[in-house]
Amino acid sequence: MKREIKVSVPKGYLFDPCVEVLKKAGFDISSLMEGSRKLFIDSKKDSLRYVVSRPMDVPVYVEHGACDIGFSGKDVLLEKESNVYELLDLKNGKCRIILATLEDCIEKVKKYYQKFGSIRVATSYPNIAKKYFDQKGIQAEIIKLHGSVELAPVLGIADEILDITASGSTLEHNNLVEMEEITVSTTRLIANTASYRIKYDLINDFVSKIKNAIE
Amino acid sequence: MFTNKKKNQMIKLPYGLRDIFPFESEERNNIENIIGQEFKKWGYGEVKTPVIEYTGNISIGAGKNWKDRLINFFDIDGSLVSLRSDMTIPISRLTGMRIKKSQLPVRFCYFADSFRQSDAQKGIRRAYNQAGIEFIGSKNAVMSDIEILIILINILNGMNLQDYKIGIGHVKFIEGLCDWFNLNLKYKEFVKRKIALKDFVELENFLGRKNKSGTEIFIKLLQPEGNIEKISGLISKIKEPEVIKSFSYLKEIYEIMEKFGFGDRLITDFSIIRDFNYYTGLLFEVYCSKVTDILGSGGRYDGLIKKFGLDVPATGFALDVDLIHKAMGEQRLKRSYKILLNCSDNKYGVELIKLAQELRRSNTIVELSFEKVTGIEDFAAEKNYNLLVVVEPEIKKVTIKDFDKNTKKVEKISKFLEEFKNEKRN
Repeated sequence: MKREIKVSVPKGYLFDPCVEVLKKAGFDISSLMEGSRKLFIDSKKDSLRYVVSRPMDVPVYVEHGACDIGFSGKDVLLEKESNVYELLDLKNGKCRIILATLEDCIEKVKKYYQKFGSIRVATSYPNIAKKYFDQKGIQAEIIKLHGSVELAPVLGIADEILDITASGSTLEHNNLVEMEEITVSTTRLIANTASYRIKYDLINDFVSKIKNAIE
Repeated sequence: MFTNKKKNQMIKLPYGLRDIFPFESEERNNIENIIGQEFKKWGYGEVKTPVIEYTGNISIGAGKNWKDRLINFFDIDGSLVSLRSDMTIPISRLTGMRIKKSQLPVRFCYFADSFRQSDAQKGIRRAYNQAGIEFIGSKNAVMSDIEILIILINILNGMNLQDYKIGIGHVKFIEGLCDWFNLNLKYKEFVKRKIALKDFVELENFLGRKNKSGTEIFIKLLQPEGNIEKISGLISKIKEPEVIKSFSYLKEIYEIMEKFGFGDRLITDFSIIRDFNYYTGLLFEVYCSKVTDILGSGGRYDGLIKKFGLDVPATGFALDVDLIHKAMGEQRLKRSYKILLNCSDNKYGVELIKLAQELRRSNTIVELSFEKVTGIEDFAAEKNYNLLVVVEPEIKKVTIKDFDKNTKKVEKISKFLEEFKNEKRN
């Protein structure tokens, strides 16, 4: 049996930076760039099989061994708390996890909190939100949304949002202002616990190539 | 979408617990047999301990946050009790309570369920069926560690697991590396926690701030490596006694295992950190590509039994039977010859059981059927019986349907018995 490693690559805004790093590390990325709808993309030359998946699913695939390694944003890793090895910081795909509210609402939110002792937060990261507010001792009602979180304060279903922002333009566009930065997220190279040992030679080799490319 | 049941029919189990049915049990028994045979041949005697222990006792030697993972209750007198969360601690307790120095060394094995709290949301199991050994009181650390490693490999080979690997590490190695970095206790804990969380990115960032040039070696030494000589080269640059000592211990183990031809099963990995604080030396974990969890783990725990009153060294391991079962795939167990014996006339119940007794012999199962079953042939074929024997009224004759040969005949009972006994079956 030919030995290969399966690499989970996220769709969306992290796709291009990840492919860029792979290219810089000397991997053949032509098959990845074809943009086909295939589930697997084989790169025979490098003995790699790419699995392009939704960013939130990358750590899931890796944790359960569908892929040996993967590229995942730190935001997703914090949210999922997956049992995977975090091997490298690619230092790209940078975004910040922030708390924001409507421009003219900061005072209102404060008053609301004083009066009712709790706040309503809309987010696609309920786990991060819960941990953050628990640690602050604030009682927060967390409303999970699957995207377009910035609409929540506008529509009046939440006082604040917890979301990621890269340039801040989406916030600005929706009259939202940042209240607090929770953490900064970059792309990480992650590995499955068992594969990390069983395919240690292939993975170590892959890691060092990526490491050279980002330095 | 969901079929409606009456309210009082919605029966649930507490999350993370489940029932096991005969089909699964049969395969698990086979696994436990393979394991048990090996344990027995090396002189390990089985112990059983209570499922419930005092929380105070069971927390001894477990990690800082382990208390959160215990399932606790109050006893009738108000004392706090817990379900056992592993078997090493109860066995250490019983050794401390009951074993005298003059009886050492002792070899214990167990097959038992342990219980750990888990996240309800993730639905992770809370019962762990483990098979393991504890080798207590041997003064020869290297050879006793070798003994349990060889037992482990014999078992894994017996399971026909193709691609398993055993990662071996040493508790003191990381401590030594931290000393090399001149880290205080607080930072040492930080480093260990980051390794336990598998977060090498933050670890590397932290180390980089302390000692830039050493960081690369530190991180490299945490990587799994199959060729121990490569590590030797890196170690030579570090003159830290704890690092050298723990590495040479591992190297000795490695070299002996190589003499048995097991070298290619081993991977050195100093990032192995177990949830339990009681380990003091060698540590190991078993991996297999089919299952992404750790199949089994173990190591040396020299200080633990002292806490229960007997200062003796010890080493051992536990295998996760659920995961081994998943990793094994098709077991091809030898099927027993199955007969369905039917007599619908209630008068002859005693004769029926007597007849069944005569038919039963090693590897033959005779199931009784006391009712009139319509379409009994189809029923028996579907349930994979080899032979259907229907006792005719007045219990003189039997109708015999042989599903293997696809024959059907009516015979006198005495003749049938004689034929059945003479027939050679594998």
